[in-house]
Parts: sequence; structure tokens; C-alpha cells
Amino acid sequence: MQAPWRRGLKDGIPIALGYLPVGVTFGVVATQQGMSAAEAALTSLIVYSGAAQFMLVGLLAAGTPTVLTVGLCLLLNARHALYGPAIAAYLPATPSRLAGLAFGLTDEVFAVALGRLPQQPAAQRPLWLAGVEVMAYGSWVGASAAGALAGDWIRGHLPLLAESLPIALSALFLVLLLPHVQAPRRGAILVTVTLAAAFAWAQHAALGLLLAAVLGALLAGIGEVRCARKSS
Amino acid sequence: MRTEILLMLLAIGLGTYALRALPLIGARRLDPAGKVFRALQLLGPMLIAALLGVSLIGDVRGYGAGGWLPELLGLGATLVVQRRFGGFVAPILAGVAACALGLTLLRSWGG
Repeated sequence: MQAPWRRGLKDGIPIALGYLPVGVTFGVVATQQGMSAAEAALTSLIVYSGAAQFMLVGLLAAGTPTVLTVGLCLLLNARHALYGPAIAAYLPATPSRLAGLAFGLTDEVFAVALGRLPQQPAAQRPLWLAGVEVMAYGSWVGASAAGALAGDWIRGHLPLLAESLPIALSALFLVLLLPHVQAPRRGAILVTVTLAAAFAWAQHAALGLLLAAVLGALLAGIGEVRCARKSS
Repeated sequence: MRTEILLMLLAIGLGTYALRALPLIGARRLDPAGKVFRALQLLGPMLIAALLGVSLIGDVRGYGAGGWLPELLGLGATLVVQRRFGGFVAPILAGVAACALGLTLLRSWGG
């Protein structure tokens, strides 16, 4: 059997596939909006949150006050507070290890962790997750730097690949969701996907994500209680 | 490197890290038989569902007019390969390939 961190690196490849084009795009956009290549790479290195980084670049370009910029980026990232508690039960680790693993807990890493952590031997889970996180973080930072330095060349020479790779993230979420799509949760999942998509369509993705997930969990809970009553 | 930018990055980075770390460390104290734990177990899959909803809108917008075609082809291929062969790397690669095909078709129809 492979070492757990190696399995983690391998399981992180789908995330990296999705991060590469988005990271390159971030590098391009950041430099176009006035950041230096070093500042763009450092943003990915320190902030490590795609949505907040794109928002940061836009707010900087618009001359938004610093305190407001920081506040809005953190508000956008508030959803991350829900990820840790949802996977904590599958992660037997000391607080210091958890503190290390928390840095890489992005949307995509959370989704992979929730789906795949229970399949790993309990003692190997922290190292497996570290492998996933290293793959994701490395690809994000590397792609951002590449985008800042040579984004136009990459998009000019590999346009179809650059354009089609972002679907890797949606495909990843779909694959990770499939095991949960069963009665009595099926309806709740459909409502959640639709509601989150509708909010995203209306340019309120972060708010929609939180609302849709909480409403979906509520509906799933009601469905499970009804199911339990019927069978008893 | 501008000092103002660096300080802003550090503030957002530290804040984001706190949002990820504190609930993860705090959740170790949850009772596995308790209601909060049960609610979080329901919330996890719904967060993935919400991420899927947000993500596919981002894809479709990025592809431009007719963007639903490559998205549906891509996710359809992912679904078929996952059901047929399992795993999660092959289904995702199949999705990317089908999406590239869809984009090529879209561009050729659009002239």
C-alpha cells in the first residue's frame, strides 16, 4: 500500500487540474490590474482563497479603503467556518496538527476530504489530507505565478485546454456528491444545487452558498425525521 | 513589494486561516451522539451541493453564449464514466475532454 501522503498527492490531482487554469487567470488579472508578479504570487501564497483573491484585486483596482477590503474578503470567506466541524469527526489529530491542516482547507479540499477521509485508515488520515493539501496549494501558487509571468503566452498557445480545464472543479464536486444522492436526501440536494446556482447567477455566490447549504441541511433533516417516523 | 499591500494580504490571510482553523480545532469537543454533530453531518453534503451549483454557473459564464452545451456534455461524461468505472480521476478527465469537444462544436457552429 502506498504511503498515505502519496495517496493524498494522487487524490489531489483533480483539484490541481481545476486550479491550474483558474490560478493562471488570477495571475493574469492581478498583473493587468496593477499588481507586480511578486505581489500576485504572494497573494496566492498568503491568502490562498481564489474567490477572495479575485475580489481583492477588484477592490484594490477600484481604490476601496483597506479596512473595507479586508472586511469584505473575510465576509466572503465566512463559509470556510463550516468546513472544519463537518470533517472534524473523521480527523483524529492533535490540536497542533489540526492547526497545520486548517491552512489548506479550501472549498475543493473540503469536498475531497468529506468524500474520501472515511475511506482512509483512521491513523493515516492527517498525512493523507496533508498530501491532498500540498498538491492543491502547490498547483494554486505555481499557476498564479505562471499566470503573472507568462499568462498571455499560455492562453495563446493552449486556448482550448485553458478554457475547458475549469470544468474539472464542477466535475469533482459532482463525483463527490454522487454517493449522497439517495432518498431521503435527493430532493434536498436538488434544491440546494438549484438555489446556489440561482444566487450565483444573480452575482451573490457567497451568500447563496451559505443559504442554500443551510436550507438543504434543514430539508434533509426534515426528510430523515419523516422517513424514520414512517419506518417505526 | 508595497508595504500597504503586504499588510493587507497578511490581515486577509490571518483572518481566513482563523476562519478555517478555530472551528476545526473547536469541533473536536463535539459529542458524536449530539444534535449539533448530526446537523453537521447533514450540512457537509449540502455544502458540496451548493459548491457544485455555484461552480457550474461560473463555468457556463466563462464559456460565453451557449455555454450550457460544453457544461452538460462535460458533466454528462463525468457521470457516465463514474457510473461505469468508478473512481474519480478518470471521470473528471472524461468531463474535461467532453467539455473541450463541446467548446469545439460551439465555436464551429458559431462560425
